[in-house]
Amino acid sequence: MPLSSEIVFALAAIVVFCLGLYGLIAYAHLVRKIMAINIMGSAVFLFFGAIARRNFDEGSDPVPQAMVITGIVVAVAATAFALTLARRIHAITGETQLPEEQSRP
Amino acid sequence: MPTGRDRAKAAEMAEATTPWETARSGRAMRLFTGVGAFLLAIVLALVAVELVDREPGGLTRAALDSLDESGVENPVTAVLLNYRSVDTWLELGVLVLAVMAMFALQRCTNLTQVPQIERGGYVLMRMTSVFVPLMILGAGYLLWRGTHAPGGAFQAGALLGAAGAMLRLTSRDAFRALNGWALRGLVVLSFACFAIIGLGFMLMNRRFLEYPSGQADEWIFLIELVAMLSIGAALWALFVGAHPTEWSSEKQPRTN
Repeated sequence: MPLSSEIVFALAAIVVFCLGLYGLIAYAHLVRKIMAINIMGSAVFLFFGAIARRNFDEGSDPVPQAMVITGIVVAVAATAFALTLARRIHAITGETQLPEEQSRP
Repeated sequence: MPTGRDRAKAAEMAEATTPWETARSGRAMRLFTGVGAFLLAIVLALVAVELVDREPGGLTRAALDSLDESGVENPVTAVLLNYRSVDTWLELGVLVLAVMAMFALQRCTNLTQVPQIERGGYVLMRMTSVFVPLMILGAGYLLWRGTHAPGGAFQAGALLGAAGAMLRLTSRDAFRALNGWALRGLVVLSFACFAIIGLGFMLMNRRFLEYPSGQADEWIFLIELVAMLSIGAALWALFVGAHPTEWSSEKQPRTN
């Protein structure tokens, strides 16, 4: 199997996705969790980009690309909402993490 | 601010677990998570190698074959605003929801009470003066370009939102003075226009968002134009509204 650039992009996306997943579970701070979710989302977008280019002579597959374009804008909006929510939690409880996770950094 | 109850709870927890136990359980948990993420990466990598090697099937061929009827030359725009326009409509709805949720959390209906931020340094101020007009011009170009090459409403809207963020960082965001109705109207504009156009087609005995044949390009351009404005306004409002200091609670003190 030749090592095409699509394979490299797809494997890089998987590494980034799993790093994000680790960050999401291992850290309790809400801003870290929001960043981790964003890293996972970027990995999914990269994976879609790789999938769109596979074995295709006439350019790329437009369907995954269209999903990435709308996904990026929705992810930015959801991140802004998540940050507002995290600030609200901080304003009410004085904590930067959820009450179930008292003992972790 | 930690309340008395929180402090009591924290003290109780400190008694229940010694620092050593806390650190050990945290380390074990991280090790467990790390191993799990690594195993997941291996499984996903095997799937990806198989998937990338496979011939593309599904919608690709269908999307490219009916490009001539779609009214645009760029297949991505055709997918976004013709074949799957209902999805795009709902994604604009997600943006409206995000802005609504932000206003609900901040207990406000407009952004006029958000405090000014400190003016940036000389470089930032000069750079903004040069970049913001270029970004507005670039947004218009991307919108026009979207019909035949990579580009379109989402990219243009993101650029407008970024221009708004730069203005905010140099505290020259005059849009903040918009009253609640104007701001919410701007954010909701594209979602509403999309729905009205779609229902209008239904009145003409077509399906929801089924463009009249031969006119698809005009309708797509109109929808993209309002979508760009709404996306830019929504991103800018979210950027300003997530301001890191309290700005609305002094106005409307909460009791709960």
